Amino acid sequence: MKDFDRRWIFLAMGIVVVSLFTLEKPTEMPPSEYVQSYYDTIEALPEGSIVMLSADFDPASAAELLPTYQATIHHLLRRNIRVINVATWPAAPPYTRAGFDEIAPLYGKAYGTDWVELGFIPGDDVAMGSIGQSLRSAYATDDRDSTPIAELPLLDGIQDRMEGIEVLISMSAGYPGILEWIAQVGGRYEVPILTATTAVQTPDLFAYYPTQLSGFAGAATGATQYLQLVTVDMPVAVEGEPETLVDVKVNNQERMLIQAGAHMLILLLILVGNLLYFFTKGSR
Amino acid sequence: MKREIPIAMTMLAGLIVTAAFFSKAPWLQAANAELLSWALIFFSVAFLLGIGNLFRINLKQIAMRHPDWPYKAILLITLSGYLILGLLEIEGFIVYGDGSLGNKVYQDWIHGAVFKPLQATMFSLLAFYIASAAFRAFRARSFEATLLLGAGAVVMLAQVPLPIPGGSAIGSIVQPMQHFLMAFVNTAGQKAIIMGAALGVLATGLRIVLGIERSYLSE
Amino acid sequence: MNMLALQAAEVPFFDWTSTNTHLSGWLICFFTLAIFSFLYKDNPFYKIAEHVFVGVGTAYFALQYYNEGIRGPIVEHIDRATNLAPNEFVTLGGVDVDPTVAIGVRLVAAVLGLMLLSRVIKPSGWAPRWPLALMVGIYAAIKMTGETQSKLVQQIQGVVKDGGLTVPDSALAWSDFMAGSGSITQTAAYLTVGKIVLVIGLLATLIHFMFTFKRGAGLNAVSRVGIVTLMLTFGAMFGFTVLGRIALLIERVENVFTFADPNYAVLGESAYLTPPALITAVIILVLVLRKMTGKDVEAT
Repeated sequence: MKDFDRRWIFLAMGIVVVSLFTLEKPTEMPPSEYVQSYYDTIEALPEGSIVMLSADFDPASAAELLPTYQATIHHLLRRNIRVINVATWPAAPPYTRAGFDEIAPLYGKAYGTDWVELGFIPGDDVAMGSIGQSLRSAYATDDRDSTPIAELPLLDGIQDRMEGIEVLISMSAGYPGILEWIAQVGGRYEVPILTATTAVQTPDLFAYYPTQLSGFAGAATGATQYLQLVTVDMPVAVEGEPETLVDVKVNNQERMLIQAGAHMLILLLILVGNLLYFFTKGSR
Repeated sequence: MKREIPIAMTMLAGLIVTAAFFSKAPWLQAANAELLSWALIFFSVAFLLGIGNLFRINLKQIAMRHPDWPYKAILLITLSGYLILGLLEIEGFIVYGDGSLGNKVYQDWIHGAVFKPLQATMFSLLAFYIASAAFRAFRARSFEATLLLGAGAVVMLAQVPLPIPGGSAIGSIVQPMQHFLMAFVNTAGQKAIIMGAALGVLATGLRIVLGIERSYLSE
Repeated sequence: MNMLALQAAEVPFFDWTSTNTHLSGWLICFFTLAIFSFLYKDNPFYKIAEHVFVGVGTAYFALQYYNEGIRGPIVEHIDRATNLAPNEFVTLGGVDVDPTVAIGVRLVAAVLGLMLLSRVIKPSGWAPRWPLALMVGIYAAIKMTGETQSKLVQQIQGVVKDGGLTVPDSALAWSDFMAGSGSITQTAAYLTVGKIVLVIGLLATLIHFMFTFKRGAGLNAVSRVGIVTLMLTFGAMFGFTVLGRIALLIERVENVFTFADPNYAVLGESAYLTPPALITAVIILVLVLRKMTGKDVEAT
């Protein structure tokens, strides 16, 4: 066992993922109550209300969070909800810019009135505390082309202490993320909070739901379920046309099958490893 | 005085921020907002300080012809190149198109074509290592370890569709098991961990704000 | 996947606003596959990718910290305060402050920032300690207040509010479930048992954490329940960790396959001439040559 070359396992994992990749078989997943609450909370917002959307992730977690992020942008803009974008992770703002530049025109939304990009703010917990206490003190300019934030009409209705913001949504990949938002903003100013998180952070969230957290889409599973809910009445994907949210959904559903194969492999490895262990222990 | 002044500053700043949590007095709120902005500035300066060190260490290795020196040169060239391009763009010396796409277009392209695949792939290597660890390390040596493995297996099976013969039967067993595990047992465990950690934060925070904890000032 | 079919027939060589171009395709595939080559063995491709990663990543982060942590709160803030009309004020935490005061106070922060920078010249000097001391005090205070409220007070409130042993009126009766309607997780019996397990598990784990000194058989039994709860919790976390790691790998494979479309091929539309195929071939060839010539010994 000691001289077993672990690269064989790497190879097995590679083969499983790449071979299942060619299957292209989407599978439906029933939404959990947590994902349903995430969806319902956004559905219940009145038109024209303002939401703060915080991008707290980076490329290393985009695989899990970007689909939910795109779907959330679609969901909010389709319901004519206005969005203030912030980020506590430095590598997140490019995703915000790309997402809104692509999605906002579909719903005829304009920068400055329907959405703003305030961008990254350094300082982790302190940054969140600063945003919560006073958005105007936290940011001097926007992140798009350094426009002073006093010139952004969307922010006219926003007061200090999160007044005017109906819901805070965090796309959270770890620290700083949803747990810090709950501590620095959710608890202090009683703003309802929603979140989409990476798998690693998902188990933590159960301890906050439903009193401190109104809903969450956890891991690739939650992302797939939420995408299904958002795309229910969207037209089906057309091959050869530019990628739509329905494509993202189908893609995520296909990913779940590959995921299943890889999980089976890991369970098999645990099983074989244990059998070998007990077998060799018995013979010693 | 070398230690007294910093300790006094820590206490004063800590007490103002703590007091602003309880009181809405205008001057306290203003002082709190300003102090938080200060912290952001120091945070950023501290990061830039780190880059100075990175330059120093790598330049030294290049000068000493360390075996890896060509790679260190690549590091410094990409670092400086991106830094210069970004600064020119942020300060408005170069503008993409008519400027309607904002002043981060060039930076975003490098982010998307270079940084994104590199960081994402770095972290995706962990999928291979967790598979290797599954084979070599996860042993049901004791009752506790067996519980851990069992709970992990339930989650792994319940989170995905199971397109195998008997998959739906397995699914209908592990789904409720996972629900119970996550919604009640995991919630109990997480809550206990959260409360325990919060007590730790409270104790450490009080020690710092009251000036008892001073280790951060040592060399 | 479906992305393959979605690439427009005409792929541009290069475009600053898109990464679906030939040049980006080559870069993305090279960096991805170069990092994966580490799984076989440390090698020059991996080393190049690793050092580019550190270089580009550090520069990117530096730009963000400069733009949002120095340019914004110092330069822009002071600039805005200087250009206010005579009767206008700067708002700080919801309070109107005279611009001169606001500028003065922020200049103090700038000076303190410079003191922090003086570490470069004299690492053991007294100057960097002042901003450091302030930072520690502010950070400790905000963390302490926020987390005590959300992770102690509101967590306990949550247990009382939600963890009370009552179940919602919408819960299913057991007889209805047996008759075939709904799922077991919606039944009143299931929810009641679950809530009892939650409260017992929480108390037992807290007791396990707290009574670390010598204890009798009774406390030991309770502590054991706490350990069981913790192990099941860690197991669930492990399961989710696997889920997350695999998701990252799938995305990388998917991304590389995007560029395996014949539209990205050089010289004719063959999938063998696309970036992933050619780069994989070159990396394998070089690794084999290095092994044959004994050059990769130093790398291990």
